[in-house]
Amino acid sequence: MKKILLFAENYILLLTSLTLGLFLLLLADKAGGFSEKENRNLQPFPELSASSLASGQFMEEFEKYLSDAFPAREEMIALSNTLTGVFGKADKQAEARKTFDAELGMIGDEAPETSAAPLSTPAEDPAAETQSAALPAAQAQGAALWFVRRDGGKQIIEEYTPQTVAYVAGVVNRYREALGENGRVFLVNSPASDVANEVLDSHRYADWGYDMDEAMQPLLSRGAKIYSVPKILEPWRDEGAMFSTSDLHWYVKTAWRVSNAFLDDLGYAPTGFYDYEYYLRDSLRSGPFTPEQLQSMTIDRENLMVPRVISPVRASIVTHLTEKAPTELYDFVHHGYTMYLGGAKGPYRLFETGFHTGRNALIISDSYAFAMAYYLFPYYDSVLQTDLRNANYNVSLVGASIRDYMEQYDIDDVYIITCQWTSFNGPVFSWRLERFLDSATVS
Amino acid sequence: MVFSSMTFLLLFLPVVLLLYFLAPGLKGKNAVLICASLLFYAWGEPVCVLAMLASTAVNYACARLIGASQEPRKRKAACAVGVGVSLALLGYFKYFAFLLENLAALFSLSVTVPQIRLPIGISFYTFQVLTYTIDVCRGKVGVQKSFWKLLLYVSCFPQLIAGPIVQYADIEHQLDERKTSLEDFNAGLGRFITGLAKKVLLANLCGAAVEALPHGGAASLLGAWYHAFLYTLQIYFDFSAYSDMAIGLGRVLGFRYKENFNYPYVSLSATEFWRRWHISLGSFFRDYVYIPLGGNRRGTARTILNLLIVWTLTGFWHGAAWNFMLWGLYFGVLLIAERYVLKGLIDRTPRALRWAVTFVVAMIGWAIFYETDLAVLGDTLRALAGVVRTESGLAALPLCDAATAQVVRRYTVFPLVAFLCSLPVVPAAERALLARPGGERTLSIVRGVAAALLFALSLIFLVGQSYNPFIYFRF
Repeated sequence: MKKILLFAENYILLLTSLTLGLFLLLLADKAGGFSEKENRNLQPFPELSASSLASGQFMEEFEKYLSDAFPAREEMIALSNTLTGVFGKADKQAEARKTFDAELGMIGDEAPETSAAPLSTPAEDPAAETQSAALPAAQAQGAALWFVRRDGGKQIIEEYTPQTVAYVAGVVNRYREALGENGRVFLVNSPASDVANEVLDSHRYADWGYDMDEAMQPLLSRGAKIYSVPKILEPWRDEGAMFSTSDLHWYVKTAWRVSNAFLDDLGYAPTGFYDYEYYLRDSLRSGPFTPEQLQSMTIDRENLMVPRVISPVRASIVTHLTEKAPTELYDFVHHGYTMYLGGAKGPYRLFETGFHTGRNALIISDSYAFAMAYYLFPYYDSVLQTDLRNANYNVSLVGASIRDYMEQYDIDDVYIITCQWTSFNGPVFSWRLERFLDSATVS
Repeated sequence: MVFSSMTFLLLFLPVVLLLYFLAPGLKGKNAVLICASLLFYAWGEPVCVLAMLASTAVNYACARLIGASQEPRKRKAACAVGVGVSLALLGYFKYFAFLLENLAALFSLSVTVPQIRLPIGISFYTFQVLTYTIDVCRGKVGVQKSFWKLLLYVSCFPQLIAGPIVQYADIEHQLDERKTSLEDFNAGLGRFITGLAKKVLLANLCGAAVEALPHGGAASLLGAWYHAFLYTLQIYFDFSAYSDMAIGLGRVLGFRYKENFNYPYVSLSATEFWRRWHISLGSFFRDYVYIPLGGNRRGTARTILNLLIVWTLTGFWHGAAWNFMLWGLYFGVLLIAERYVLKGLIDRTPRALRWAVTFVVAMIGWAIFYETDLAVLGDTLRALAGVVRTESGLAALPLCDAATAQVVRRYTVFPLVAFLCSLPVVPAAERALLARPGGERTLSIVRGVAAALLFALSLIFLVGQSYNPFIYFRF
């Protein structure tokens, strides 16, 4: 009897499998469609031909089709993410982070510039005594980014030692010193979307906290300021998700809100979000949209939006070793966050904004500044942008220090805009920002 | 085709099982299995099926010649042709480009290295077909007169592309006579589902954690060891999962394959580890290389040489790259040392320490196995020792780096669960349950529920991961 029951169970499993398979083969939507959550076209039923069979392309696409056409697919993926989280891997967006890595360079500690260079030198440790820019750590307090659990407990996500706080403050002050009397330095290290959404979207945690601004601000020179993204966004936290649920970035509206915090401090009146027109990234839905149309779109749709510049902007790649070369302001060919600002080309990109304000800015960033940059254009004659992460900062092309670039392009304000995956504990902040200020090379 | 794919689980397997059990007589069942196996192999690699057919055909013909002749010279010559052709095919597809590349580098030659597509599973089916031809020559098994039965042996889809390496002698009679009982069907499908869950729920998640650590975790001491630990778990779950699925499916179809893994991470020495890891490969090298070379019967020096040859070949069997050879030699040297130098010391060492040392030895082995680029491998090994190469020499590596801290924080519970699953915890729990009154009934219910749950969970996870090949496919 026991054996027969087991057989029946196995038989039911097989039968269910077959039913599902036949359903997918015969009845499911063969056209594919579009996944809003994943921001990609789903695989349609593949075309059968001798060449697609011989090359194995048909089989590959067929497998993808079965997965993409699976009933309640998005719910199942959400369930697997939840289960994975419960299982101890609380990373809902590992795939997205991989894309972030691949497109924009390494997060955290990174590869050497050459095979002879160390993967990690003592100078990469923020606590190391060799760091010349460090302020005395005794003046500093440690800081952290944390979740508040539903039981009221605190769960640290990232921790910064007093040494790290003092060191980064010292480096920021050196940038401030490199600017003129009225120069400003703005520093933002935003929580990444997978962390932010734990509070703002899934509400898995009751709240979050961040006190790096409180710890570092007392150490910063006049004209330099560090911002807390959780505090900037607090007034809107009940208005729904502000960070993407399909990749690691923030929505353009969130970028706009953070940029307004800078502009407020500069004494400028920010431009309204819907004073800009927007492209939608998906080519089928491209073109400008009215504010009413935009407002009626879903939150995820907003993540597809690309602000249209309100003046003719000229984008170029500039280095000290090559001629200035025109580049795109948008990349409408490739999917991914790097479509903002035309991709991650570098080492420096210059945007001549068409405005005449008498001021120029340098943005040192990871991709978190990409969508935001458009909102800063109206306030500067030109905006220079660079990404110091190893994969993007090509030292063989740079040819000069950041200070040289700042002098050449007459920079007034410096924005250092990153997300937590370009951590204060990581190499951009622990040595690259300081090293490249006065050096064109690693050694 | 991959076992852990929608195509296999939702269409191929149910349809094949249905046709198999509906087919009349063993002939009909064998015909269904051959067609299914060829489709299984051709799905994704349609052209490569020709290499397998060629290898089988040549060995079939050679075995017939061996059987037809009484002259030892002729028998050996036919055997040599069969073995030679099979190894030549393997050599061409797997090692030719590597050989050319190294010769070009050695002699500074300007050569265009061809891009040769490696037929999936060629290492496995080549070794299988060799066991047939060699054993026919040795007189250990009879000549298979039916080409289709030999083709079924070589191509049978449960074990076709990632083992276990089934020796012909073990399966000879099952080609002609086999039955599937209700018990076999249940146990086989249960085993298959266990393997599926190991692959989808454990190996793939370990793999995600491994990939989250850049450069083999070589940015810090903790990163390097955590990477090695995670990869140690990943490769075990990945490969043993495939073996579980193969053995399970084999049993459903009436075949009894030998076990390929026996909880290798409980081993107390490297020697024991290799008695528990990829048992079928160890058996092949023992029976077809080590013993024919003289084994341990020709003195210590010759035994050591034989062991080194076997372990170098074991390494190279895994792939055409120097790190695999290093990995093979690493274990070869360890096994020799355990046999001739460390035996007394090992016997006197407490079991817990022996286990810990063996686990660390395995982790270092997998670190070597993981990285095919020797320069990066050097960085990884230095990182495991806590140092990093700088322009001015070696420097101490940080204890932890940001990326590792993130990964440790994000994968806190999961690696511990996975580690526990790599130990014989489930059999122990089952034994404990059986010892209780009514335990057998409870266990049966638990098994049934667990199988249904694991299957559903695996499907849910597979929906989001449309392609997830097994690590051992590339060998």
